[in-house]
Amino acid sequence: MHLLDWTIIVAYLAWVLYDGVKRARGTGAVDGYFLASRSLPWWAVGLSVMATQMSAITLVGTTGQGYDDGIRFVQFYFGLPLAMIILSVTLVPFFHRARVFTAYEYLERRFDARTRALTSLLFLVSRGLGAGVIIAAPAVILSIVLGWSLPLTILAIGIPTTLYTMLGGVQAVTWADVKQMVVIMVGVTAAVTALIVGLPDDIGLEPALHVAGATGRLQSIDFTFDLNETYTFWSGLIGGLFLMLGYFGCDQSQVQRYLTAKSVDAGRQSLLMSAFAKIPLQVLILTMGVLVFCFYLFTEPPMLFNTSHEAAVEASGRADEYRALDDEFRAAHADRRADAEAVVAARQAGDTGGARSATAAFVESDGRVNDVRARARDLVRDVTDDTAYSDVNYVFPTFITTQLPIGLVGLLIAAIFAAAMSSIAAELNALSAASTIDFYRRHFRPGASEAHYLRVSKVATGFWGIFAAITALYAANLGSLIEVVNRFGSFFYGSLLGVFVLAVGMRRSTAGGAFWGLIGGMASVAVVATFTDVSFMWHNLVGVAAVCLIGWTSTLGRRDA
Amino acid sequence: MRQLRLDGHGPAASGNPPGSVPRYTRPVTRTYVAVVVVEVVVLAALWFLSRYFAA
Repeated sequence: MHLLDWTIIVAYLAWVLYDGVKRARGTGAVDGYFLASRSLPWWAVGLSVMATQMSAITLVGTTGQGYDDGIRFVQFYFGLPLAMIILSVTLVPFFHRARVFTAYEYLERRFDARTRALTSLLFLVSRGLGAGVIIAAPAVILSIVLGWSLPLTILAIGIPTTLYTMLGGVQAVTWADVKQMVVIMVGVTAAVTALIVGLPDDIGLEPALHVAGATGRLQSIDFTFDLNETYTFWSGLIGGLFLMLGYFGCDQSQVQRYLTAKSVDAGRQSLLMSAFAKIPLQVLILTMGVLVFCFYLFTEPPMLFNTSHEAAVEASGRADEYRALDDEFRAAHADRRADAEAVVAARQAGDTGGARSATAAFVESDGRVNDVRARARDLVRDVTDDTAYSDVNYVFPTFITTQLPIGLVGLLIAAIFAAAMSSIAAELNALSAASTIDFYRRHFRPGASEAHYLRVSKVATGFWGIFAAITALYAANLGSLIEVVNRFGSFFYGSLLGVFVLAVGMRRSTAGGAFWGLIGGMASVAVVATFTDVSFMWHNLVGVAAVCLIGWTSTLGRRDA
Repeated sequence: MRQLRLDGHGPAASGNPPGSVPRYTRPVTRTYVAVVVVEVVVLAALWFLSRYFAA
């Protein structure tokens, strides 16, 4: 990378750190540290909500998914706008009226202390380990792309994030999120512009998208109703609705965002900002991946985008096999390029029959390219023992560092850092709030001074930052652990949402019903996930249904008694 | 009124001048409708573009 790119990255990191530390001046009490004294404007909170949800792996992985599979992943978000409306009507006013620091604090007022302790503990375990994964995933990619060591990359992400979160609290997190969201948006817009400009002169945007469309990459909506299929219109709209309700309504890292808003209306508006912008934003990012695909139709791509794994295979006993695949890939790519140019030429000439036959040839040669890539990926998995290896995560960073002009490279890498830091900062702040408010202040040291709790909150943030960095070092080499953490989270959020449904919607529900409902809900999801092929998109719905059923049953017992 | 009850503010205690629209109801309800309308438009546009570029 050029010196200018490095300067941009270092300047960005220094700017975020300086501004975050500066925010420490306005944080003199726990209320200010965790909730910004409920003073933040809706637009800042709204951008923070969006930045928190957009982790680096979302930005990088989604683009790679657009490249490899097209934009159908957007269906995942179809339930989000409705979820935001439901939360604005129900939980947002409840949380604000209850004047709570954490979502779980509300459950003690409604049910009992053990329900609060269990939900908060599950959050701490799930998100504590998850924070390590959020650092590890982009660190692995950036370390390979930038040529840094993995520990150095983890520290480059973790240290500034932990420092500004620890010193500045939620004020620093939110205002850093605002800047980071701006950097991400500017970076994405610049990349899309560069991709469009980078297409060959005789092939415009529309013909290129028609070629991509022939492979099904612009097929965004699938009306099939199949519980085993992950991304369909129905799984996104119904399953995704419960998934988003669980995440935005019960996850402290999100709830804490809108608790900082200065009023109920401001909290609502901050969520509704995502309701308006999330699907178009995801379409933009996925389309960016499709444009990367279009770009590499006319410019030879590497067979696999992870250069580190390629080097490992080259050094192994199966190097000849890999080179043979590489030759096959180059031949298939040349055919695909010729076929794509034939499609464009036929369309421009208005030759419908020619376009149809050229499209069929193009789809066939694209299939051959994909087949060779799949075989190369399997070879890499065999040689490196990296069974979870997915090449899609390396597509966008490799494109950035090898194809974009000087300056833009630095901006886009800064955007990836921004996406990583914004998600981690929110997690650290939320983990600190849950451990300090739900456990330390509630069980270990009630009645201490504000200054004492503020000190403990800062120490807790620092602790979780170090914990996340250490977990990241191990998580990077343990693909199965990442899966376990993600799976544990998916068992938890639907059931937790069920507890909040009982709390807010079922007046007769009891503390026992909520507690055992939570455990029963998690067990139900575990059974469905283990013994059926039902997609994870439906797991939250299963959890909610199980908790509500158990909770309702407990009210029957109460009435009989 | 239903929404006011969910907010925890009684109709008489909302602090709005007599005859005015309650503070939480009017603009937010409009925004909810706008969210639904925008989502329908975006989904329709996606469906149209899918078909257009697949042709």
